[in-house]
Amino acid sequence: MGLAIDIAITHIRSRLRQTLVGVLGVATGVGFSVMMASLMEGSQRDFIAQLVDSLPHITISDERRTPPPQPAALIYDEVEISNLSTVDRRRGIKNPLAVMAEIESWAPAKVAPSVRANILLRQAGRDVGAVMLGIDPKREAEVSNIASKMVEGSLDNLVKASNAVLLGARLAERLGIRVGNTVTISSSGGKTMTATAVGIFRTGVAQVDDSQIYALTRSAQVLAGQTGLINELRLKANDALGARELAARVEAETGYKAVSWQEAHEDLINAFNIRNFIMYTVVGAILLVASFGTYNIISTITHEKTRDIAIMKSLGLRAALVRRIFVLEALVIGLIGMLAGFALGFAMTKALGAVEFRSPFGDATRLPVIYSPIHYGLAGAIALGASLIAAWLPARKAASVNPVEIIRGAS
Amino acid sequence: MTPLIETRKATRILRGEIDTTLVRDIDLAINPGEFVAITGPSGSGKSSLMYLLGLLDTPTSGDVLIQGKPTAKMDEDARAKLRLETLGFVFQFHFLLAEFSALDNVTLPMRALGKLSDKAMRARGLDLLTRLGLKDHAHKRPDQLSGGQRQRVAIARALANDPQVILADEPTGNLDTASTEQVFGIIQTLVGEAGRSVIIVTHDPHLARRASRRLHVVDGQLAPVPEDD
Ligand SMILES: Nc1ncnc2c1ncn2[C@@H]1O[C@H](COP(=O)(O)OP(=O)(O)OP(=O)(O)O)[C@@H](O)[C@H]1O
Ligand SMILES: [Mg+2]
Repeated sequence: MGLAIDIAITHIRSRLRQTLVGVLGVATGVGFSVMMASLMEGSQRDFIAQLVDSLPHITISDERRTPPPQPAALIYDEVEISNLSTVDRRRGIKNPLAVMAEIESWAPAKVAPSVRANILLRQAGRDVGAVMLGIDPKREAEVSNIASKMVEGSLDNLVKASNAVLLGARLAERLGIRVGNTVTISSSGGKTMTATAVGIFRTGVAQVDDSQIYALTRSAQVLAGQTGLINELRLKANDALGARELAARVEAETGYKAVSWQEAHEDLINAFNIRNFIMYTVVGAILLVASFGTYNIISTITHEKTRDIAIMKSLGLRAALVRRIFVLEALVIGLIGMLAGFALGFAMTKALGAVEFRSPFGDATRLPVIYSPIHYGLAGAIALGASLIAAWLPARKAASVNPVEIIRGAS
Repeated sequence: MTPLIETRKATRILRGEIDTTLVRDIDLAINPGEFVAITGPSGSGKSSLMYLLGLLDTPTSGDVLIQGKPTAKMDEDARAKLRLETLGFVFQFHFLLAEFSALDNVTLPMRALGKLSDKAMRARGLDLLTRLGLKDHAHKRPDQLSGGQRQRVAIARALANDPQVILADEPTGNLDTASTEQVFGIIQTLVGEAGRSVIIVTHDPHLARRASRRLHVVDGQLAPVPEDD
């Protein structure tokens, strides 16, 4: 092995400038791959974190995915009843406190009850449709971060006035509502109430800021025309990424439809998967192109050293040793390139992460980058693997040189 | 006594658009301690024969036996091992590695064999160079040496693993009279050391006459040595 290393180093020395170009190629490839991966995954995680923080991980509603089995069908196998809908006679989750207690007894999650009602907001002659969420402020803090998203007023204000509501910032802007204003709210059932805006929140998720208002459970129940109604339980799981599995279990245990945030945002998850696929394709292509440089160098060296190879083989050095020499050379280029690429990638990620820019909401934000050993490991492994493959063909060709042919030609 | 090298109807044909017969039906045996000179006109196939004897080339038919072992059917690695251990080749042109010092060139076969420690290899390499009068040139690269000095380094390299046979293909072909005399003198003293054999190709009838046996090649076949030589 020592001999192969010595000869490899000699070759690299004699081709220092070309070797440097090869190293730079690999380094650039690895550097950009690392930077791209940390930016892509950073922004994805940032986006999902924002989403996951402001939305419940799992929403349990009083709907069912399949209509309840009909008594006739239960008794007689032959009976088939079609075109059933899933309407319950009385809306709401039955005995919500017991359901909550049951879920909390086994699930690693917090549960809060709420009333969801579609309402119409009336202000200065304009009507805007919105969703009212009747909540218990104390329990709400456990499942959502709405308290930290208040730009005016606070969550606790809900209990300080009668018929108090919190409005999404975009909704408030649209209707020109300020804290302290009164608004008229009417439900689809025809109930009307006058409410006072006691706070405005901004979650950053347009859908929420645009059409959601919070009120106390009691107010929402009045609007829904059903005292004691709870038609939605919202869960915050300890592990947000495991919400899908948890939702399936909750649904199986309670019989109520439980929708995880992943299911609710299936299109988004798909978009991220496509984005990641594109990213890895591009990263792979960058590293592949970088390895062409390595192939070029090793090819040149093997051509240049044909005479040396013939000499070594004529002395009795084995073909495997000759092959090893050139594979080692590629490995040295790949390894130095990889390390330089790590440094470059880290520096570029750092620089990108330091760039500040104004978000449309006014507060300065930075590009969300993450530093993951997986990115470095992956880029490094691909770069080294590509170097090895790039070296393999010329190395094999060099090792198969027939010394007599070269010597016949030379003498 | 088993001959060091023996050929049995060794024939080498170069396949191409027109097949060229390099050597045909060679039968010979080289015994330990022999100093054999091979002569013949240019293009007669002397070098081709040497490549067969040195296991650098494989016969198209027939066989070459090294210490009684047939080699024609051996794989590449086994032949390389035999070359490394029992044969030492000196070419017409020195064929040293340009980027290695004289000493590194000499220790190269030892390192490939890997039987000695690094220190022992260095010591043996320096010893060989000293015996060939190159004590002060051990750390020079080939391009800093004269033609005769390079050829002596090549001889030292051929001796590196203490081979049974030295094969030299016109080792003095590019040298002046004085250098030729020096190199030839060294080769002559090698003969007899530890029963070593030397096979040398030369154009020079004077040198050839100093060998213990002469082989003459004409048109790729062994022929009687001409009377007037
Ligand atoms: N690659 C080749 N293709 C075709 N013919 C070749 C090739 N190499 C050698 N020959 C032919 O083989 C014959 C033997 O060549 P070889 O080199 O063995 O001769 P030689 O006796 O060593 O000659 P010299 O004394 O000039 O070195 C020559 O006639 C030569 O033309
Ligand atoms: Mg010749």
